[in-house]
Amino acid sequence: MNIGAAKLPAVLALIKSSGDPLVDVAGAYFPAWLACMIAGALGTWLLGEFLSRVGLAAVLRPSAIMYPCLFAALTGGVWLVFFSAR
Amino acid sequence: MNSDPKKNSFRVWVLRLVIIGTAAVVVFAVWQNLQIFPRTEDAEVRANVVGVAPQVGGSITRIHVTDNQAVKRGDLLFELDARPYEASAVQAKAHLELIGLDVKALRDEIAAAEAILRERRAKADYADSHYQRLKPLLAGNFTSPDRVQRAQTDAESARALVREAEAAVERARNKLGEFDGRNTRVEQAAAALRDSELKVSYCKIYAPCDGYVTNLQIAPGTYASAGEQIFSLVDSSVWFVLANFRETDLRRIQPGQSARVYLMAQRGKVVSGIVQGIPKAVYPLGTASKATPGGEGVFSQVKPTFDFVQLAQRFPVRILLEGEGDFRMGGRAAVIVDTRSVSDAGRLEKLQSLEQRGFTPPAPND
Repeated sequence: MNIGAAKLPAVLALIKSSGDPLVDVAGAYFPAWLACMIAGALGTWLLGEFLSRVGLAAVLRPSAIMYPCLFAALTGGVWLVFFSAR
Repeated sequence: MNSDPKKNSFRVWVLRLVIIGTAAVVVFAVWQNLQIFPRTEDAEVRANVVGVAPQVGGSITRIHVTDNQAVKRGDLLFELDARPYEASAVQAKAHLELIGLDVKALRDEIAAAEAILRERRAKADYADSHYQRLKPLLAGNFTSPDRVQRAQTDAESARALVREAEAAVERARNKLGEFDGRNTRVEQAAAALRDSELKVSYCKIYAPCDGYVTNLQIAPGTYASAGEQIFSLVDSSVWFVLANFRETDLRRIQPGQSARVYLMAQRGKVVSGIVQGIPKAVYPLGTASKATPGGEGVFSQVKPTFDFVQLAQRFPVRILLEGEGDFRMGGRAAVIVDTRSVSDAGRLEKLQSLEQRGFTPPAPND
């Protein structure tokens, strides 16, 4: 489960796409940030479910602050991994 | 599982701080990445386009290219009926030869006028000296007053004839029309012949650059008017992308910086580009104020507005594409500029020199 810090850049390079700022969805091209937001929203929902299953639902309270933070962290994280320029 | 409430509370706080901290770091990293690498998805592949139009009018007799064909600089594209222009050239040549004969005749005329002038000068000199010799003889009554008066009249008459001959020489020279050793009549006729020959040569239309024939929808027999565009030639020597960047990104973008261009037509491939320039002006749309000089005075018209969301104006940054590629004018693209890259004037100049090549259609005697 834990990935060594030394292996992280190699893993990032593997999963990183060409950095194309457009995402192809059945012939229509969407900006990368839109795809990242969808991924962020899904991730937030899944992580919220996971935390409540393991009895850590309190982590996401107060929800007005914690949910946007989690959403921003996941959205930005996905963007940095897949779409940031280096 | 979470039997110890104190331990659990500690875990909750740690996780909360991790989430908030991660969010802050990630947001900052995203912001910084966008600052260093400004990007736009609003970009279009462009090329210079040459409108192919004949310089003379006439029926198209042959078309040597087909639509979408690649052509090289200097290739023959199409031909016009040159016969009327060839006839004009023959006429102009004949006219030049006639003018040559005219000039010869005028030179002979000058020579004749000069001969007359010399003869009259000699006669005038004689008449004058004759009068000068007779005049002192009158005092000693060695000659009659009548003879002296006749000699004086002869001398004056001879001088008048010299002036007339001088005027005739001047008139003949003016008629010849020579200035600084150049004959204006011959030059005029030679220029008319050159013009006719050029018109004949303009009946063959050549490609001014390497490129692709576009929108060719005519057949031989079509009448082509002078200056009227027949089809377009997409200049393939230089391709560029007009990337519409927000004005907020422009201060970090400099000519010579590297750019990565993602073409929609070639997914998964990055084309390297180089920023050539940033426009100083775009047509202002939807602006709140409108200046109308010369209209209602020179005052600005400022209309009341309730737009509270202001969009940044986008400016088309010109990015030259490097290397050969299957580019198509009008294709969509996304662009990321690397503002860390050092401006490379040499690379930029090399690409720009391709764009600034001159072309003069081939003509006779060049």
